[in-house]
Amino acid sequence: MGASLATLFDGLSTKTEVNILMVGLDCAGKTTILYRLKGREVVIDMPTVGFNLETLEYKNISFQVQDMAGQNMRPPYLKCYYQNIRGMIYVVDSNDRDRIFDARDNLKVQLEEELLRDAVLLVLANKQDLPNAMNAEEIILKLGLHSLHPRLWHVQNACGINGVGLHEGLEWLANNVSYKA
Amino acid sequence: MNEKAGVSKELNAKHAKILDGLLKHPENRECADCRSKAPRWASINLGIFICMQCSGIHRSLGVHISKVRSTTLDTWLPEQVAFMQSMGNQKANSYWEGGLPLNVDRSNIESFIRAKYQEKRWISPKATLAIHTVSEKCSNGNNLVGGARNGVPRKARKYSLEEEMFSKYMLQAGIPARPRTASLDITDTASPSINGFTNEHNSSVNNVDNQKDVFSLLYVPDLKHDRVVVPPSHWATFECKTATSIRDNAYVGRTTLSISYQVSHLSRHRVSNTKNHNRGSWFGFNLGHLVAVPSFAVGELYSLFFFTRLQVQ
Repeated sequence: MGASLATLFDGLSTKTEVNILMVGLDCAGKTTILYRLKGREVVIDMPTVGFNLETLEYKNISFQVQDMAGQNMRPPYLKCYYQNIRGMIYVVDSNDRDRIFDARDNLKVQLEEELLRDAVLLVLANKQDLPNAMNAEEIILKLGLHSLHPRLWHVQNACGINGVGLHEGLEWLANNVSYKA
Repeated sequence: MNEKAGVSKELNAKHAKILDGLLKHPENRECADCRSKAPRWASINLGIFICMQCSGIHRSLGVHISKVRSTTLDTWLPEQVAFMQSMGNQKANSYWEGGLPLNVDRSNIESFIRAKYQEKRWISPKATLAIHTVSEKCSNGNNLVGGARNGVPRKARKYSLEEEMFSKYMLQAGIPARPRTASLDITDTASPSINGFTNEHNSSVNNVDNQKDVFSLLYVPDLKHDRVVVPPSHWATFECKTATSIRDNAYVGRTTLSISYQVSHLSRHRVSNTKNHNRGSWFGFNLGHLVAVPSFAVGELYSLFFFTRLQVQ
């Protein structure tokens, strides 16, 4: 009884909401990761138009994750959604060596946004199950992450289809986002 | 490094027009895999047009097998557009479905697509079109980077992937293919259909900022509005003018063909519309009369019958 009361109290008191933005090039696997984390079965996704918004409960934090469309299918009033973003998940298709530099430029553009100045960056090196995938070190090098010095960043190997590495990534986010109002 | 940044708005609009034109070809009017109508997505390394459902499955195969782009929403590079022009659904399927049995089950489209592109189950043994090398090279490294970005031709560049493939195709077809560097030399050598491609490629790559670009001459922005107003006879004169004024006849011939095709298609559409309209009103008119008269008569008879029965009782 006491224990259950304690968990109830715990849950009520320290539940914090954190807004997280998930971006990346098209076909990187953002929607798949989101719904894998949400616990739904992975379906064949059609390209996202606009964005998906889901709330993920992880420990005592509820992540409001916005999964933006990769193509030019974004809402024009995009910056409205950048309010109060504490963390950014950047999803990279590790298998797509041709477009890793596109991804770098895209990431750079995204991080220039003033509203994302204080956001921590989690890079998910997705699709690690595929044969020709780049590992985390290679991705750090090619994305030029060392140049982002004041910003907190982390690269996590992941696979959206079988869910490997996703919880480790969330764990890092939970430990590193700032909870200040 | 980002090649898309080099694609100006004008070039992007031209690419959109070209892709729109490609999607109007009869072979590209249905999805290369599931045969549903009006595909709006494409695989840029397979050279096929696919529907949105199939694009989802192609995306899940991984970029080493298929690279999916939207024909309407994405920014395309000149090389990619040229490759789409050189391939198309029919040519690609003659390779990938060369040994396809007649009664193949397409109901489970995902397993069909996986068998087709991942397992390469039905590729024809005869057609050694260089697609094979494409998919392998794509997985190896960055080969899609063409030489001419921002409309500035480099002096001596390597063949881009599509050019290489195309030159291989030309060799196989027995047409004398001249090795091209990036210098813009449009001279007619061989059959117009093949030449049409090379010329298009050249002009799309090199004439980016040129005022007298062939594309801008032919692809008028308000083409759609004009098409409805101007009768086809005017178009015929337009065709002759452009065909004589520009020496690049192979390309012009092809474009005017597609325009005249669109015009004929439109006019046919209009005619069929008016026919339907006429038939509808004619039918409605007759039907009204045919139905109204007997129903009136039946109603009268019935009421007569009813009253007589009442009187009898």
